[in-house]
Amino acid sequence: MPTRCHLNRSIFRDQIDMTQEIHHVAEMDETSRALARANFKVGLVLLIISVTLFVHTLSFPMTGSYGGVENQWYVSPALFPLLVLSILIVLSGILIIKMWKECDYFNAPTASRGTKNFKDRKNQDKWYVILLLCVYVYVYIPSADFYLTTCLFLLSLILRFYLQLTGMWRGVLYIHFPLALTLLSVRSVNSDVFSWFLADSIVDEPLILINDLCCAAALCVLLLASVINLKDEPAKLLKVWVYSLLIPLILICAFSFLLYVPMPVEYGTVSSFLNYLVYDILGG
Amino acid sequence: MIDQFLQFFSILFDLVSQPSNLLILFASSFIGILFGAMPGLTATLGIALLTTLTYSLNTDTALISLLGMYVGAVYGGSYPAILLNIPGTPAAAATALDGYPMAKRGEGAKALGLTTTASLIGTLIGLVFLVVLSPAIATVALQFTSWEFFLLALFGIIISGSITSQDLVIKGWIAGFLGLFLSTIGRDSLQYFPRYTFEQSQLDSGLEIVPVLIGVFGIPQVIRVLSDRETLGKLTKLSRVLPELAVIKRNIKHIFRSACVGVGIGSVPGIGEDIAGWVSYSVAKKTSNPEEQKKFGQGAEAAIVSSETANNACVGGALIPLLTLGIPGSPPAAMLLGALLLHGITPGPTIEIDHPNFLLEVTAILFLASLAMWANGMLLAKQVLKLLQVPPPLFIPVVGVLCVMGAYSLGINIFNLYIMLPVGVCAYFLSEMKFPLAPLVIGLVLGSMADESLRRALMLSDGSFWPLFDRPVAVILLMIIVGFCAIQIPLVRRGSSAFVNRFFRRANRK
Amino acid sequence: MLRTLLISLLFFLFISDEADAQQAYPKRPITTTVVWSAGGGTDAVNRVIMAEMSKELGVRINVTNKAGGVSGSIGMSSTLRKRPDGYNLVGLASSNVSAAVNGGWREKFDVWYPFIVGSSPDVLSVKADSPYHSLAELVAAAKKSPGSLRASAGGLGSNHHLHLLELSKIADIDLSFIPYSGSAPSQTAAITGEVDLVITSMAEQAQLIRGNKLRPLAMLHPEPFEMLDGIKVPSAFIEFPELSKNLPISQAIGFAVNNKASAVVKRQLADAFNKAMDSSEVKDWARLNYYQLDGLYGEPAQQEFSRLESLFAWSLEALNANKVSPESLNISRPN
Repeated sequence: MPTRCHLNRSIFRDQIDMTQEIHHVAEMDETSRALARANFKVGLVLLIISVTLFVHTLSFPMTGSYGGVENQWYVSPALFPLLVLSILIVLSGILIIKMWKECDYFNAPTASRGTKNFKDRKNQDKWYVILLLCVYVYVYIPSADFYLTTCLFLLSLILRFYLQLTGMWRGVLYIHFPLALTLLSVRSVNSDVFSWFLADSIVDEPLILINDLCCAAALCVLLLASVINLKDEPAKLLKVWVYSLLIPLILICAFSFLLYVPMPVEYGTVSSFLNYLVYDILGG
Repeated sequence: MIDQFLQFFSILFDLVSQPSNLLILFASSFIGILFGAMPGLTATLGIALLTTLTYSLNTDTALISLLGMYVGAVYGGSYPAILLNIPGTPAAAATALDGYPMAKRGEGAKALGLTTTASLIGTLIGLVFLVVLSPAIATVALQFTSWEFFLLALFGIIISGSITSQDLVIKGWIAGFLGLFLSTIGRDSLQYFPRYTFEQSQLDSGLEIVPVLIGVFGIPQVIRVLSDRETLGKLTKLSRVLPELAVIKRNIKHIFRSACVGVGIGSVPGIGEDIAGWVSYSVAKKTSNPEEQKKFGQGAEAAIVSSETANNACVGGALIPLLTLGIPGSPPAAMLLGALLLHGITPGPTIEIDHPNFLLEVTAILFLASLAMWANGMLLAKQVLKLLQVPPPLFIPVVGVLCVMGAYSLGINIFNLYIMLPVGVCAYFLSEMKFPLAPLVIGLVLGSMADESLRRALMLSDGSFWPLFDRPVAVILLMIIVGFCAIQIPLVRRGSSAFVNRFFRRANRK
Repeated sequence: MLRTLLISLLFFLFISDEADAQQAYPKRPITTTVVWSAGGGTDAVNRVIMAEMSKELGVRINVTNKAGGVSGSIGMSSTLRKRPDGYNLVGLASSNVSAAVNGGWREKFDVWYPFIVGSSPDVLSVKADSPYHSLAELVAAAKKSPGSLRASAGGLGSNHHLHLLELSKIADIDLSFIPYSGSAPSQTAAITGEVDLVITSMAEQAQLIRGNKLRPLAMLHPEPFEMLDGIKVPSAFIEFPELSKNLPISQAIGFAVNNKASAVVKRQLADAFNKAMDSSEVKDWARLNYYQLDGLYGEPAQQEFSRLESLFAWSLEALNANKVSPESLNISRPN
């Protein structure tokens, strides 16, 4: 009895596979073609990266004693990466060939107008979020107080996506450019080797204070924008403020006083103040 | 046996009779669920924190809070997985695949109720295994040498490639191998040679799994929801959390199978909840009929039940080698070992001599912890669902901050964020191009194990592959892998079905 | 609301800075960053000693883990960058001294003011049903067929590994070292028979020895060892007295404070440390878990660490497993 069940099942599975394939070929519309084109590019990038890394990997020690362990081909640290990379090269090759057939790269029609408009807005939004995240993670968090930067981050997202600012107020969001530049230049002053990429947060206290003041100023501008935009709706304004100012405060208190996780910039203004408040005043 | 049962109940009664114990149990289970639900805060971190706090308490009470935390945290990861498509812990990653589609359909309450109950049953089954079969399982676990570890990792990688391919199977493979490649970053564990570290000492220890996990699942979701103006799951009027008995009954085979998978994976030293969910998910998919198989990824009950049962059953499994051999079966169990050491209990072969009935005591506490988790879960689920009423543009930025804080607080390291973000942005673009990302995480988790075990095994056998066919467990694993690969190839599948057609159908007709 | 908050903030910042300088140490909770992962020996020892010290100091001590980099370099460098006010301690062990030669950071170990709690002696064991019943038999077998015996001893460059190297050098045997990611997997490998012998600490092996999974052959420590239930393990030094030249390489588990910390801070910590080491809790815990208490701190502890530093650094140099030469770091050769 179980065998028959199994048999019916596998026949069924085959039929589905076949119908799916036919369906797939028939339905080669615009979007799937665009997707195929994008996939083609991914395959190409992947192939280039894999080949580069493959060449780099060949410089790893293949034989000869290293680290007190007698080396043969099978102990080499290059063995596994080479295996993985060569499979990746093959796979991305297959992807490229498959997609090349499917997308008809050079004479593909451009996407129609209606969707493009929508896509433009979506594209802008997408890049806004990504760039904001980058600035937040790479510039703000290592150089200024975590509370201030987090409020700034939250408020910029909420203003754009919840309030959907229009007109000149939308420009307020570009305050991140000068702020990021200022923080980066503050970072470059006073440090012997300037690096865009900070492996650890800054500990220089005067610098932290300057950064914090800059962030606080930017935050004030954004708050002002929210107040002016929501003059008539105090309830909504309160909601925005709760989400952008109160929640991060609660989170930071929970992390630093319940989980004992020191904030990234440990001697930031707000963190120092909270520490002082909790341990020196409340703790007696 | 009966004697054991009586003893079990007397221990249980002793524990319950103290109200302070119950309070601590419920509190720590609650905190555990919160820990699990926050992306980045894992069971390991929670247990580490509680270890310090419970140092001055007596051993029983400390164990109650630690195990309550452990069970709660493993379960709690399913909340954000279902509601937001961001798994709170690596263990819950497989739950997101089907839990989130369910929540989007408006069945969030049902999904939460099901996972809660599945987790309870999973923990209980794991516990039964712990009591009844622990010596036998420990013996099997000791059959795992480098070859078996390699095969196990290989098995995980192979199933990962076929879990979630939306259009092309090859994309799953590419993601999986990308994950494997990422796992090779850092000092290699055999010769200490720095691979792809680019002179960054932060990269020497390799990529942490949690920041990558948050990057792969959390960041793309934040970008996607905000830029698509997408809505999260809906809240329906009919939000009954407690699952009907019929639903449980319908999935009972999945529950039992997954519990066995979970216990098995948990008892192998070194791998734990992270993998259990995935393996169980894909086994459930592979053993279902095509009708059901199509539902996987679209919000199948069987899928979330399988992954959640397995990761909680894993708790019991992970305790088996810990208590009988002193070898932790999973990362949180390693932390638990540290906590036990602090209280003067050294788990190992002599545990029953040093501390009679310790195994039963742990079992009793685990039993209580799973009940507390269920009760807490049932109460919390309704409240958690209300979060979906907050408009996403307000809610999602906070989730973004939580992702950042979670990735940072693991190891209190800003560098984790520098890893999380590029991974997240790449993951976003890849997922826009319909690349499945789950294989990438599995590849990263299993990669170093595969790499290290393979090379060590070859080192021990002087480059010969013969031991693969020489060791019983290895042969079994090898056969499973070969069988699994064979079904993947359409020709073999067609051939086998034709074969079956030819001989068995006719036989049946007669 | 926000503006008042900000103004008060700045105001308090200055006050709090002023106040900080005047207040007696310790006033706030202390954070101890253990540079090894949770659940290990360094972690456990630090949690015990910190729990006792916090009673003496009257403030809470939070123990967090920050493993990563090479030889715990990430945790050490991040702690060193913080204010040297005594509120940030680092939990470490002897293996951390190789962070510099491994390229993790560019500091010598004298940037710390260390406190050594103790260590567990290393023991050489074989599987319970192994044909070898004594170190002499093992050495004879190794001499008969060089390279055929496989040994595990934690990761590359760990103090267990150095013990193994020293033993093979003095006994003139050739053992093939199989690296594992830590002590626990090394021991498991010995139980499963994947390797023939294992060297790890007594604390880690005790349960397996008592549970008859491993058979101890010799201590890599000058004194023989008697376990709680009477199992006696002889010292390898009797057979190979030359071992005493560089051994034992102690685990030296303990913690440290930035050497730039003020004398007051160091004194306060030392007082609390002394009292904690004398407490019955710590003593009992150490006895039950096979740790030998040490109690060195300050100058003598610094000397001990610099001895270990040169030992580790030059052993790694001999293995060609280092990234930075000890010479360029001004680390002297072990004498």
